[in-house]
Amino acid sequence: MIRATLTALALWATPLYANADTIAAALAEDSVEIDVDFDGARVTLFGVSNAADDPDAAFVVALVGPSRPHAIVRNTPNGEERFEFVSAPSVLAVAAEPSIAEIVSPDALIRAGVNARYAAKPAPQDMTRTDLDVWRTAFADLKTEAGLFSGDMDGVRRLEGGLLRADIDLPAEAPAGEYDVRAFVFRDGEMVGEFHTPLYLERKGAESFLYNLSRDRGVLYGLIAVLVGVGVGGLGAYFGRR
Amino acid sequence: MQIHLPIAEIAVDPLVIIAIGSGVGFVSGLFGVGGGFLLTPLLMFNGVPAAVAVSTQANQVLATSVAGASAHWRHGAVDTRMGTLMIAGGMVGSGLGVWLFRILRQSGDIDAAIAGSYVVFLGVIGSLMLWESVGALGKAGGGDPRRRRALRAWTRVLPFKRRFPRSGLYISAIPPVIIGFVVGLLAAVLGIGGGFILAPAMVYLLGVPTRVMVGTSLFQIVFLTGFVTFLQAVVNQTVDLVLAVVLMVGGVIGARLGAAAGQKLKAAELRLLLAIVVLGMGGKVAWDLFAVAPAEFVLEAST
Repeated sequence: MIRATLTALALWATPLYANADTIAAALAEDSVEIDVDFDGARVTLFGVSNAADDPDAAFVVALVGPSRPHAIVRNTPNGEERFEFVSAPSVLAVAAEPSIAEIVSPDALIRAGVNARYAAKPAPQDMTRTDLDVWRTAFADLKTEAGLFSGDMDGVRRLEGGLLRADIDLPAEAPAGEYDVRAFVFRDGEMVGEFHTPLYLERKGAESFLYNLSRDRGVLYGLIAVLVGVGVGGLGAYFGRR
Repeated sequence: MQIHLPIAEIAVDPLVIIAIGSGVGFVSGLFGVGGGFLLTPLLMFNGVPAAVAVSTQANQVLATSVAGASAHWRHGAVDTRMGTLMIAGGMVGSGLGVWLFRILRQSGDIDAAIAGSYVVFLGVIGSLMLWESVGALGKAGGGDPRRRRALRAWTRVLPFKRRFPRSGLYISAIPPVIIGFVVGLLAAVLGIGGGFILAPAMVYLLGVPTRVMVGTSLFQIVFLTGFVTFLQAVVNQTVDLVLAVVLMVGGVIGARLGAAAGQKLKAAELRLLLAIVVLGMGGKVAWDLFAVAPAEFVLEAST
């Protein structure tokens, strides 16, 4: 199936943009199921590009999780400071090629939205704050520490026949939702081609049942929690008696 | 093998969680304290978000205290009359405490003040218990503190006197309600369950025998944690049932072993151990407060 998809992508990509650098891609699996046995997943992306044989081009693939507001608290000797980002990706996993440092400029990475240090968006009135970089850096560091932001500088491989392959590990802490998988071609420091495709992380089975119950039927969920507590405790008492 | 927690949104090793549950359950069954003070930081250390850890530990403590209380029940060591009076006082006290806590929070940065007063509180209670129980161990018997002490005169002079056959007391019904109230208030303001404060208060201020104290304390923890679990599930949606069930499996086993171990110890030895745990807890809070600089940046749970 993946082979057929790639052939179709190659046919579609080549004639239309014969002169420009293009990239098209497909995921080996476009959805990931989260059930109670979920402990992370490996997301594999195959891509085709007319620049795949060109050593002057660099490829970057990023997995961007659903955006949410985030807040950071800073403990200082004079008390707590708080900074809010109105929107930041919950997950940002980047796979690239070793040559990326020479070929891609940091600004181009920021514009592509795959530079972890600039991933978080502050409120408009905070854009001019002098300490904005401090907060953004702290945010990226905390996310990296939690395993939700990651970068693999050797995560994209060029296969034969203009094919690319990127493997990105999704941590078990990754939240459910719609992810955006982005593939980019860079040349001479600038981004010259890009492609987006969605990846769905969906709750399934017991995980989905319990999560939905806790959100939609809080009272029932609370009663079940209490009954389970009393029941397990009572069972323990019953069997402990023998 | 790992299991994924639907509410916490992380994966954990179930064997680690069972080990944590049984260790905390043992302490709970032995002393009649809930054990949330141990459980919450242990869960957070394993990556569980703070809000989920706080709510889910109440569910686990519910199960272990049901198991522990029923074990003590069979030994006739649960004073339901006294427990019910303290629950009534505790409900009012914790309701007022939650409200007071919000007022205090709005008035400024009170975390350090709370932690500081908590250290003083635990230090004083722990030291007094240590001193008393070591003294009692030295004397023959090693049983409960003397029955007619000046410290307990108030329980005899106040009106509404009732018999408490399980505890072997004939005292006013007002002191248990007041103690339940104060413990509920302090627990809500200090943010930790009240077993720690309740246990010594019952022994020293009311004259409840140590063994009955443990069973009665667990009895009222059953109601308190059932109430908290339900509220957290409805209001904050932070109870993780998968995590709770795995914790409970270890917890009920630990609680049974703890209760059995408690039966083999002298009452004064039990109080001595509890005093050490109380002092250790105070020491830990003091250490966090004065010796450990908090991380400069902390990411708040995303909403």
